[in-house]
Amino acid sequence: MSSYLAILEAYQGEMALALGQTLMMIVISMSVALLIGLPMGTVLYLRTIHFFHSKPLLILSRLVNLYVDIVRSFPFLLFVVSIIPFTRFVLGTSFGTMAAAFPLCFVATANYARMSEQALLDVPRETLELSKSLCATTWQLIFHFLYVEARSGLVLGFTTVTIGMISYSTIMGVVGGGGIGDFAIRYGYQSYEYELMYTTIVVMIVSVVMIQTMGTLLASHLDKRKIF
Amino acid sequence: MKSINIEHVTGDALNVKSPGVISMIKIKGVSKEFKQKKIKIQALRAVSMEIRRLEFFGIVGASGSGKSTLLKLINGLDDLTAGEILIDGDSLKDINKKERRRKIQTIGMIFQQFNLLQNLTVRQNVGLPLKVQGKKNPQKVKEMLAFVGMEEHINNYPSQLSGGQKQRVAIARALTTAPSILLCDEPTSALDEHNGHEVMKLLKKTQEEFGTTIVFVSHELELIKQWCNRAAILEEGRLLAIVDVSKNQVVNSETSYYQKAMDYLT
Ligand SMILES: Nc1ncnc2c1ncn2[C@@H]1O[C@H](COP(=O)(O)OP(=O)(O)OP(=O)(O)O)[C@@H](O)[C@H]1O
Ligand SMILES: [Mg+2]
Repeated sequence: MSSYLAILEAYQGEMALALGQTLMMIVISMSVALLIGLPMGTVLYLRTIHFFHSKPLLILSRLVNLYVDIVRSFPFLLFVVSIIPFTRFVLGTSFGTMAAAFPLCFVATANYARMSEQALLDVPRETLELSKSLCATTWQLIFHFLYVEARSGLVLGFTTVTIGMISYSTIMGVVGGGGIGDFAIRYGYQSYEYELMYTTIVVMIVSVVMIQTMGTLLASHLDKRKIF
Repeated sequence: MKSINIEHVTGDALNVKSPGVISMIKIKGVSKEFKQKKIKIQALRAVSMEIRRLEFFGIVGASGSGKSTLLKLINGLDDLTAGEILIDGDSLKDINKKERRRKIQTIGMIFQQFNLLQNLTVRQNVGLPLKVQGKKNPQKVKEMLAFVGMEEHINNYPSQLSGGQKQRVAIARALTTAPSILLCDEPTSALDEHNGHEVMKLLKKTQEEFGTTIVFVSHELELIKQWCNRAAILEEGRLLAIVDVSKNQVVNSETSYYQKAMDYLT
């Protein structure tokens, strides 16, 4: 037991750093997912309900759909590696935590776009009918009707994608992204410090459970469809 | 056939301030066709009618006869395949987009499923049409909730209300923008008899207090009989008759829906 504590103490600095790196990757990629993935998901949804009639919007929505399908079908590791030249072009480097967050952004965006499309599809037809009969503009439809009625689903989807990103971020050691997964492998597995590896796994489980609990609580707080 | 195309409605039949001889909604040769894949559905075929100011006008017909379609067209929710609809003298197609929007916003609508937003409180739901029009009027919201007798539920969510209460909130919502026309698509068919009756009384009160023209769609002849001044009978997208609804009971036999409607309503 005391040797275990000694190991923890010896590595606590590295571990805190790794946690910080993971946090940074998640915060960056999920912020982008919210800012870009949600609008994309909204476009996908409007495409699904045949809302678009003008040519440019139809083309845009098809491109969004294509983007989401392509990114989501890529094996993640291959995706990270294959966009390295692009990462280098945009960020000036393909190494480090920022460079690791970059591909995560694409994946988070694509996944959240699909998730939010699904959440929006749960909005009842009657809500659309109402917004139409009140002559709401498209922006009003989106912000005063769709997002209001889909908000708990949007939060749950966001939670799911966040947790998925934690899992994706663990392999970011390949581009020197660091993070908690990389820490577990380098300091735990490869250095035969199995206690350290298992400790890290426990930390990750606890984080995931916490995020999920927060997401579920927030979603049920926002959901007024049924009062239990 | 007892009566088709009655030319006037007397003041006392309407029991409101001014007799509704002025046309409020004019439907001229309206057809509507839906295309689903390769099949064409003729939902309305050359329907013409005139709905007068301050009328309580019924539209009856069996399921699929085109009642909801007609209501949606009046509300400008869908494009006509042929014909024209004039609201208070203005055609919906001659005017520009902004004018059209303003025109349509003078028409209120209530629905069979109430169409309240579940995540908004009663107050927010009732204020929604104002919000869409870029206005804010908390006083009006309260006033309308008082009118429908729901003011003590102002902070509740729809899931905490009964069906009848939800429809009353929906009526309050439709009235916040002081519409000159209220379109009602089977507003009582999701309700039991008592609550349905309460809703009908409220619609009558709306007509009397605010001078709103009511267009009431239903397949229940009893309701049309009891509440409407006149009614249009639709069948498979065709207008079969416009009748003056008389209040005396006629026993009906097992004939066609149309015959039953004619016997019963006139
Ligand atoms: N959006 C649509 N697309 C295709 N067909 C439609 C659409 N809306 C209505 N229809 C068809 O048009 C016809 C008339 O429908 P409508 O909803 O107006 O009937 P209704 O009289 O309101 O019936 P109900 O009493 O069941 O509500 C039906 O055959 C229906 O299937
Ligand atoms: Mg209908």
